[in-house]
Amino acid sequence: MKLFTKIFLQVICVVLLLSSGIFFYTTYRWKNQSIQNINSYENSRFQTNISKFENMLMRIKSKTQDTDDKIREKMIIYAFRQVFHDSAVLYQDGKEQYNGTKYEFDLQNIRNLTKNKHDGFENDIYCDKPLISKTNGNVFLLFYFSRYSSTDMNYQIVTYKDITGVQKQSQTLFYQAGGFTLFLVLFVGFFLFLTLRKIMEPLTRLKEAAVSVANGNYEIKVPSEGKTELAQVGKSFNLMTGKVREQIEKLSSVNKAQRQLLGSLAHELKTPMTAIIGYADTLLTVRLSPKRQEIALDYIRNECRRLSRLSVKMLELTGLYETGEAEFVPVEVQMNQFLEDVKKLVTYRLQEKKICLEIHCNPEELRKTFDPDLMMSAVTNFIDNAVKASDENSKIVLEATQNHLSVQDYGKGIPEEDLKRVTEAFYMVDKSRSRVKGSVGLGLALCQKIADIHGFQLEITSHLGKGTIVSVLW
Amino acid sequence: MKARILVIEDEMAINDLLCMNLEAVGYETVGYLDGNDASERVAQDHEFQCALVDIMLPGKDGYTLLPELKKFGIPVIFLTAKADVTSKVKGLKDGAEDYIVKPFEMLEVMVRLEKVLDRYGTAPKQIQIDDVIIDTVSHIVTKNGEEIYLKPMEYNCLMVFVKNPNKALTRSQILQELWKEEFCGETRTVDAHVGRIRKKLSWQDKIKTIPRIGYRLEVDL
Repeated sequence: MKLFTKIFLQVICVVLLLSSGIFFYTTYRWKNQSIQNINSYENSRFQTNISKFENMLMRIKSKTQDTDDKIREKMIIYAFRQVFHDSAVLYQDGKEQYNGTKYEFDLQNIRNLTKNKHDGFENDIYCDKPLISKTNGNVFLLFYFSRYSSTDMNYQIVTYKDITGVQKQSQTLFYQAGGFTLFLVLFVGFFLFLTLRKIMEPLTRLKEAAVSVANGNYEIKVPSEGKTELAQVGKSFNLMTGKVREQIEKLSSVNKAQRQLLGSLAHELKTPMTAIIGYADTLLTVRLSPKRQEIALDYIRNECRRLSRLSVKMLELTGLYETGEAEFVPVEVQMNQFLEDVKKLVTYRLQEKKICLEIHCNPEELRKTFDPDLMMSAVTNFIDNAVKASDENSKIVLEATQNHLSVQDYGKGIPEEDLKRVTEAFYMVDKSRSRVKGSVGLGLALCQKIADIHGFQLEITSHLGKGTIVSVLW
Repeated sequence: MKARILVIEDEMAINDLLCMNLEAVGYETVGYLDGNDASERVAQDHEFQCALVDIMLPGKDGYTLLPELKKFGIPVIFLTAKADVTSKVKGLKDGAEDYIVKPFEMLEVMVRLEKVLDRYGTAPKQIQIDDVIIDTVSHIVTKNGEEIYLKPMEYNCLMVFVKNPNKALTRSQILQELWKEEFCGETRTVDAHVGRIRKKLSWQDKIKTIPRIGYRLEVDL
C-alpha cells in the first residue's frame, strides 16, 4: 500500500494547492476589480457633483455679494444638498458644516490618509485611489475633496460609498472557493482512490501470488489479459511459476526415486553388514578351528566384495539419475556392427556355460539412433541375466529389428508374480541363489533407467521353464 | 545332551554365522536356506529345542512356518530385518517367543536363546566340564566328587562363562550379565571374581585372559 499512499497523497496535495491557489487568486482579483470599478464610477460622479457644486457656489457668490453670511451659508448648504442629496458631509475650514449621512467621519484622519497618498498637496486634493475605511462593521469607500483658496472660502467634502455588500460578497465567494476546493479534492480523491485501486489491484494480486508461490503453492495464476505493462508482468509471472513448478516436480520425482533407492540401499546394506560384523566378532571372541576361521574370513571377504560391487552399481545408477539427459549423447549406430561388439564383450561370460549366442539383424543395414555406451551396458546386462538363467550348452538369441532389440534365452524363466517387480532396484527373484552368483539386484533397474533416458520401453515376457525374452521397444 | 537348534535363514553368510557361533558354545545346529525346504525336512525330523527363523524367506515365509514349527512344539525366535512395530507385534502375537532385529549381536542372540530354552525347561540340569559338575538346580559345584563352595556372585560369574563357552567375554559384558543392568562401577571387580573361580576350581588354564577383551572359558566340546 506504500506506493498507493504515496501517489494518492501527492496528487491530492497538488490538486489542493493548485485549485486553492487559482480560486483564491481569482476571488481576490475579482474583489479588487469590483472595488476599482465602483471607485472609478463613484469618483466620476463625485467629480461631476463637485463641478456642479462649484458652479452653484459661483452663482451664489455672484448673487449674494452683499447678503448676510448666514443666508449665504444656508444657500450653500441648500446647494450642497441639491447636489449631494444627503450622501456627503460638508466641512468648512475643518468644521462640519452639514452632515446628511448617518455617520460621523473623522476629517483629520481622512486628511492624513489622503496626505499620505498625495505627498504634500494641499490644494485641490482629489484622490482617485480607493480609500477604504471600516466603521461600525460597515465598509466604506471614502471620497474626499478639499479646496483651499486664500480668496474664497475653504471647504472639504467627504462622501462615501457603502461597499459592505461587495466585501461580504467577496467573503462569500472566498468561502465558496474554499468549499469548492474541498469538494474538488474530495471528488478527485474519490476518483483517484478508485482508479489507483484498479491499477494497483494486479500488483496486489501479484504480491499475494508471489507469497503463495513462496509458500509452495505453484498452482496460482495471476490475471494477464490486456496489453498493459502490469499484464505483461503477470504473464511473465505465470510463465515463471509454470517453469518453477515443472522444475520442482522434476526435482521431487528424482528426489523420491533417489529416496526409494536410498531406502532399499540401506536395507540392502544391513545384511552384509550383519554378516561382516558377526564374523569379525566371532573371529575375535570365539575359539574356532582353523578351518572355521578360514570360512569366516571367506565370508567377510565375499560380503565386502558384494558391498563394493553394490557401491559401483549404485554410483552408476545415481549417476544416471543425476545427470539424466545431460550426458546422454545419441548417435546413429550401424546395428550389425553394434551387435558384433556386444558379442565380443560377452564371449567370456558365454564360455563359462558353453552357451552359443545367435545374432540376427533384420534388415542387415539397420541403423538406429541411441547412446552406444549406455545401450551396450544395457544389452550386456540382459545377456548376463540370460546366462545366469540358462543351463549349460543352451543358446541365447540377440535380435535387432526395426521395432525392437531383444535378448531371448531358453532358461528357467521368471515366475509371473515377480515379472512386474524385476526392474525395481534390489528386487531379486531368487535371493539366496542370486547372491551366491554375485548379483546385487540392480541390473534391470539400470537397464530400465537407460531405456527411460532414450524414451524406449522395456518389455519382459517369460514362461516358467521355457525362457525369457527381454525387449527394448524403440 | 546337546540342544538342537534349527536355523532358517536365506542368507548363506548369516546362516553360517549363526550355526558357527551356536556350535562354538555347544549347541547342535541344522540350517536351512529356504522356507519350503525347511518345512518339508522338519516334518520328518522335528527334534529341535528352538528355531531361529527369518521372516522374509524364499518359499514359505516366517509367518507361515511359525504354526508348523509350533505344531511340533518347537519354540520360535524371529530373526529379521523388519524393524517396524506391526511386524514385531504380528510375530509375537502369532506365538513367537522372541523377536530379534538385524543387525544383531551374537551375544544377544545367545542370551535370548538361552532364556527361551530356560522357559521350556530344556536347559540342562547338570553341566559337566571335564571333572567339574555344576548342578543348576541346587547350585552345587563339585570337582572330582568333592563339593567346592562358591559365593553366590562367584557362582553367577561361573555360570556366565559356562553358558558362553569358547567365547571371549568383555568385563563389561560379564558385569552386565551379573547385575542385569548397566553397571557403571569398576570393571576390575570381575578380575577378583575370575581370580577366585580359577583358584577354587584350579581353572588357571581353562579361563584364559584375552588381551584387550576379557576372558574366555575354553572347553573342548
